[in-house]
Amino acid sequence: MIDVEHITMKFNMVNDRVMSLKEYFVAFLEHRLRYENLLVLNDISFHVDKGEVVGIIGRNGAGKSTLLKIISGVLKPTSGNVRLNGSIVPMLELGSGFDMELTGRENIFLNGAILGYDEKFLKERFDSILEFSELQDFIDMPIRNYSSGMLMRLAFSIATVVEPEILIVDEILAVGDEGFQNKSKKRMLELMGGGTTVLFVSHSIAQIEEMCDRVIWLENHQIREIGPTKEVCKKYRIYWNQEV
Amino acid sequence: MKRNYIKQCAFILISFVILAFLFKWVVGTAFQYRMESEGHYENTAAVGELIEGSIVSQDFSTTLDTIDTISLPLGTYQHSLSGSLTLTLKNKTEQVDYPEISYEVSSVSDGAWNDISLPFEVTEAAGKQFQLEIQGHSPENQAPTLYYDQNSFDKNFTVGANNYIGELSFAVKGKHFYPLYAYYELIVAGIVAVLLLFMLWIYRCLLKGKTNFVLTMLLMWKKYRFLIKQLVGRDFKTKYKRSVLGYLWSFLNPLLTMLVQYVVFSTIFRGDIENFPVYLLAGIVFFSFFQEAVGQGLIAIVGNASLITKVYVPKYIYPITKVWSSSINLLISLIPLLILTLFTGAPVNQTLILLIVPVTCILVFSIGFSLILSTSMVFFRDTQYLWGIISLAWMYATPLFYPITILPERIKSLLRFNPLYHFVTFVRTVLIYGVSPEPALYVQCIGWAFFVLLIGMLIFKRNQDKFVLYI
Repeated sequence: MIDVEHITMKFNMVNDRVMSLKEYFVAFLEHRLRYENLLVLNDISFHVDKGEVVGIIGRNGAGKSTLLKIISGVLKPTSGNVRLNGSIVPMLELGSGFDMELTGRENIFLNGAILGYDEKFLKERFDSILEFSELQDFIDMPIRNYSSGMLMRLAFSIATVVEPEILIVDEILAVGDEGFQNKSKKRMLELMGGGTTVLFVSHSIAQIEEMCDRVIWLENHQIREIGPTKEVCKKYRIYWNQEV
Repeated sequence: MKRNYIKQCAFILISFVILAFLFKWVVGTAFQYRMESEGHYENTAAVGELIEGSIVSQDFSTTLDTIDTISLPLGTYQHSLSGSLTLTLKNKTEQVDYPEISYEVSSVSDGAWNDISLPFEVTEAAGKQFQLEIQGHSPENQAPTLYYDQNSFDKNFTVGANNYIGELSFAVKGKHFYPLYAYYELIVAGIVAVLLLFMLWIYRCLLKGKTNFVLTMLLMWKKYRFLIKQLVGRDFKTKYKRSVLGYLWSFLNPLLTMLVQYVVFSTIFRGDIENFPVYLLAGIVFFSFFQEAVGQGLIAIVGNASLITKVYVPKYIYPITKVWSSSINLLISLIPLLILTLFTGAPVNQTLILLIVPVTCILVFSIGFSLILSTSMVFFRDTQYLWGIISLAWMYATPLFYPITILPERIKSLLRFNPLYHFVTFVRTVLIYGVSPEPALYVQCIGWAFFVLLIGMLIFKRNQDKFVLYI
């Protein structure tokens, strides 16, 4: 269950990013230090029931990623709050915190710990992660020797080994070669179909229509439309046709 | 959880009591009293030869609790002396005359201070009026002289029947008792009672399902223990990853630094410092830990930017784990320090266990400092370059390779604001003299460490939500 109540996010940004003390003083003395109030999300409220799959659509810069970051706890909203029931796994980026000097095996534990898995769980699932990644021969090698495809395969296998109660997905991730892409796509669909609560951001309307029960359409930092998939997607398509 | 909680509480209480008594045994007399001397050290004029029958008498009072030794400067006028002096101490407040003490003067050297230890006990001396009478028993031209300070106009003393303006130069040495020591057991019992009440309160919250500060901490620890372990493991494993000698460097680094500094400074300072190698190495090991830990902790937030913007983890974990991984290094470099201590023949005894105190304090202090600087680093990247300079200045401001006696009085008094100085002094006292430092040093070490931790926590907490926007 996800409960989002009146979330507003403002970025209080200095117009040039001041990164050093000297720059700060110079800017301050020259009265160049203007703060820009950037409104990214304006009073967003919605509710997602347990087991529901909800898609989020909207044009670039509408605030979709910010919303996901707020729900997963990375960002703190300026006002409003989020209530979550259950363990949450944000699948925002793969391989966060990989250390190139460590072996694949060590990185499975490190990355797993960062994603919030506990030790017992990781030890139990180690073999299935390894099997899925198909990296048996390279697992005790420092990952700086891996190809980028191998890295993505390892990261994907770690990220999707869980059965979280709430899953947050920013675009369906299909990585690796053709074979692995199919496999990973299948895994994602399995995860999202398995009775977990899912928040799903995508630019592919086809995917949204295929997966989601309901859709939230963000426009101009606000919810423009929220409702059953078919209705919202239809309006969204019409909107784009007009635009173009 | 509840049963476990009771078990843990019982464990904490029992180990606290055991540790309290172990501690009492380990520190020995250091918490009972401290030795001090008190008196008038100026000598601007000589009293004259104390031949047979001359009597010098001076009234004085003291703040010491006991008087164990009387210390006198004696002059010889370049003669070889013979005969003796008789010292008589009287407690004028309580009308007690102590037995006479005789002191041979034949081996006295000119101008030197002579310690004469008392064969009896003078207790409860603080605040009382005493009289010291010194009588000569030497032939003329072989008698010693006493000294006095002409400039003490408000004092006087007598020689024979004559009254002199001034103050006789002499000092008394004795013990200053710590009044709280008598209540040690009572204080321990009091702390146990407070702890027990606190635990009961937490237990009540646990039963009612309310959360509080301690329960949240426990929960956090349970949840993030594995992550902390992994992050510390990563730092430790990657530190020497591609070097041939690997972990041996934690061992060699302080030793080689010590060797260099020993060669450079030994001719200059060696004579002033007892056990110079241990003095140096203790300073190097602890200071370089601080420097490294804070240097690492300071980039903990900025360096983990890619994680912080993607996954939610309490952000304080990053600076804490950085300091923690450096502390493994500290523990490894304690080994050469202990070996060196053994080799130089310093007294090695049960007080070694007290090293836990400065190690914990410097760890807590470094965490506090890292929290402050890692916050500042997010907003101003200049922090890391500033830290390079500040830590260098700090190194010179801490007596690591020079004795404090070379510092002018004004600067010496500033040293008490340097926590590193207290930590290092603690370590040196234990290693070089094999005794516990006096209680004041414990208070200074622990006080500074937790004060800085508190400041660090406040600053970090106030700013942590803004980090994501700036990294």
